[in-house]
Amino acid sequence: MSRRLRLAALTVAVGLAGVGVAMLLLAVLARPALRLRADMTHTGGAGVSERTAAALRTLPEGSRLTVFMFPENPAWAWNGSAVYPRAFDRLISLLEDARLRAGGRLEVTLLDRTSSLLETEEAQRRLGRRPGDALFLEVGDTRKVLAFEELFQVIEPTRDGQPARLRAERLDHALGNAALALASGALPRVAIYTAARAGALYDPQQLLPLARLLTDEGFEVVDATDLRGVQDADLLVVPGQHQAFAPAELDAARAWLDAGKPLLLALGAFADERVVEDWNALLSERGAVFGSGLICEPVRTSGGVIEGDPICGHLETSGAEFDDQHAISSRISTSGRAQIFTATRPVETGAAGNAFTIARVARSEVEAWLDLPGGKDFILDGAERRGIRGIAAASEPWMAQGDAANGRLVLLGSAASLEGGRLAALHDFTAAAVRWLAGREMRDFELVATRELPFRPDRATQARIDNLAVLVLPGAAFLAAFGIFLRRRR
Amino acid sequence: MRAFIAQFKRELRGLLLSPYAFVLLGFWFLLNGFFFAYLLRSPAVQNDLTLLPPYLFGNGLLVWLLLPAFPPLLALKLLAEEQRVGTLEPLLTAPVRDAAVLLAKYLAACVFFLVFWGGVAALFLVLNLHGAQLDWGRVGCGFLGAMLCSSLFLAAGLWASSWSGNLVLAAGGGAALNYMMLFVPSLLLDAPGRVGTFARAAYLPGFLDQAFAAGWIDSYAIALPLVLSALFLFLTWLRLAARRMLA
Repeated sequence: MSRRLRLAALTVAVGLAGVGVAMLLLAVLARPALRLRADMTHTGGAGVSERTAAALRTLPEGSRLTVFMFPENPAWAWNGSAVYPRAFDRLISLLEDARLRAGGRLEVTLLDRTSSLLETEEAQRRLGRRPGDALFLEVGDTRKVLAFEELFQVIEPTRDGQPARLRAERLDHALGNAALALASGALPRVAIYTAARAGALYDPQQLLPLARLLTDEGFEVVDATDLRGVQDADLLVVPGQHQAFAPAELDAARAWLDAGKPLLLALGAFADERVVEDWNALLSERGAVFGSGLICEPVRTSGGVIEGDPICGHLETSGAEFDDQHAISSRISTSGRAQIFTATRPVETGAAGNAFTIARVARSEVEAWLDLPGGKDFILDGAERRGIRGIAAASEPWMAQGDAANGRLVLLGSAASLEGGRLAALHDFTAAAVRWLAGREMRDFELVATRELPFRPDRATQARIDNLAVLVLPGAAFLAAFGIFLRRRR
Repeated sequence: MRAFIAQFKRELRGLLLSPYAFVLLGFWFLLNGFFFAYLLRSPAVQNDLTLLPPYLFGNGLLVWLLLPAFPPLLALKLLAEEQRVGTLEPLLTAPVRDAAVLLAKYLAACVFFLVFWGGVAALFLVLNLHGAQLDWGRVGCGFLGAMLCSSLFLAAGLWASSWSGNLVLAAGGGAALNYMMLFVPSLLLDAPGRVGTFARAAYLPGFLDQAFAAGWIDSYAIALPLVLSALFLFLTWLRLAARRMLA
């Protein structure tokens, strides 16, 4: 081997050794345990709190956090609103800190418009993500979903053109709560009442999708065939009831309500009238009861208005049919996303006892009518009249005893919508109702105000800054170059 | 040490009295000025100036477009130009260590690059003088990250500049190397296993965005450009040493 070749080989070997040493050094320094970080922001709160960091450190190895950063509510992006940029900036900063302070136990994936479409779609499919869902924390088979509205409080844009603003956030608290719940394994328990429906909870055509939704919302799902055995659960869901209560079970239902525990009760148009009467007797003092009949709506197509067809029993509600003030429905109302209620019984709201407040959270459109037994099916006839009908109502006491006994109640006039593939068309409403029942709407004490630094220069100021940026500074540099050039020539 | 200081002063004076360096500086100011003015007109930034540092110093045009290109253009003056005009050989045979020559050239370029960033800093000061409230912690961290990144790209440019006296090759090679340092990890970010872990650990824009521009001083985010800069300086030294041995 010539001297030249030997030297070249030696140089390459030494160079590679240098690369190896550098890689090794960086691999060591990259370990979360060796990372030192200092928060230099003006608020000093860019990272997670000690409480959340401690909660994250209790997560088992392999926990995953998937974050979807998509500006999905167009109203929050109008007139140059900084809601989404600011929120995403905050998410990026805080979640990187969360990843490091979890000590390598948490794998964080941020997905936004620049991410691979394939990866985003795969993640959306795997997690069953719905619009508005921002953050998924997964520990083993359990997971917790946090919607954007659960993390950030937004002031809506006004009619006079004021853009939406980010007012407060509870990202740190929500992340800590989710980590604590999933790491401890002590998830809140939700009992799904399945009397006379053996195996319904495991059947994809029946209640399996609902069970999955509740699992995604951070609940442990319990199959309850008898109401007497559910008193230690945190939430009761009755997705239709196929047989009337025995007296002892009716007492158990009364005891559940008297204890102030939350209930999601869905009875459809074809529920047994004895079942409806039993529940109405229990619920009347709360100001919401089930009526009789099937709510139908004319369906407008390019070929005209369809009436007299079973399709009239599928109520496709847009944002306008939802209460834009209530925590359950405001997000759906604002986004304008359609929800479909199938085979719906009217929910009537009236005078509640002094202790309760009631809200009709979803209603039919004004052209709807109540199809009563006797006349022609799906056709307005006889004593039937058009008008707005309640589809779902929410009741709660003025004074809640606590999260687990907040006395909240959601009445839904459709049980069929909670079953099988139909749940997909009512997912947003169901998830929002469950969150509200669990007391998971924005809690004031967890909110942290977001401080904005607005700067709206007038035209003259803007022009001065522009001139300095694109004329004065570059011009000075070019002049200096010219001056040096002339001096050198001389 | 005295030889090193003398060499450093010589290199710095050479850059400060170079029309080429100031033309480069002018273009840098011009492009950054356009970018700054454009960002400042963004309604989101006007609604909240906290967004300016991440937009400017984070995962944006400055990092992906300007930053990798300018340092090699400056670095080509350091070695490739000397090779081209034939002054490198006398310098390397002078009674000064190769490492001292190299470090003096590199540090002089880094110091001169502070002038590049000084112009951008002046824009923030002007903003402040016009009544804008700034999160100086974030702005400062953004500058720190940008400066560290610049020093890495200068080191890579220096290495490219050591390979030949062809200025186009030196500048193009340095820029290509810098763009590779940005693009290769970005393409592998989602890869499974160790490749993905490595890519995420080497992804400079991620650290500029999630650490510096977010207002964090992070030991690894600082170490990454410093270690890589040291590696490129070592490789440049190796190249010069091999060259001397061959001569």
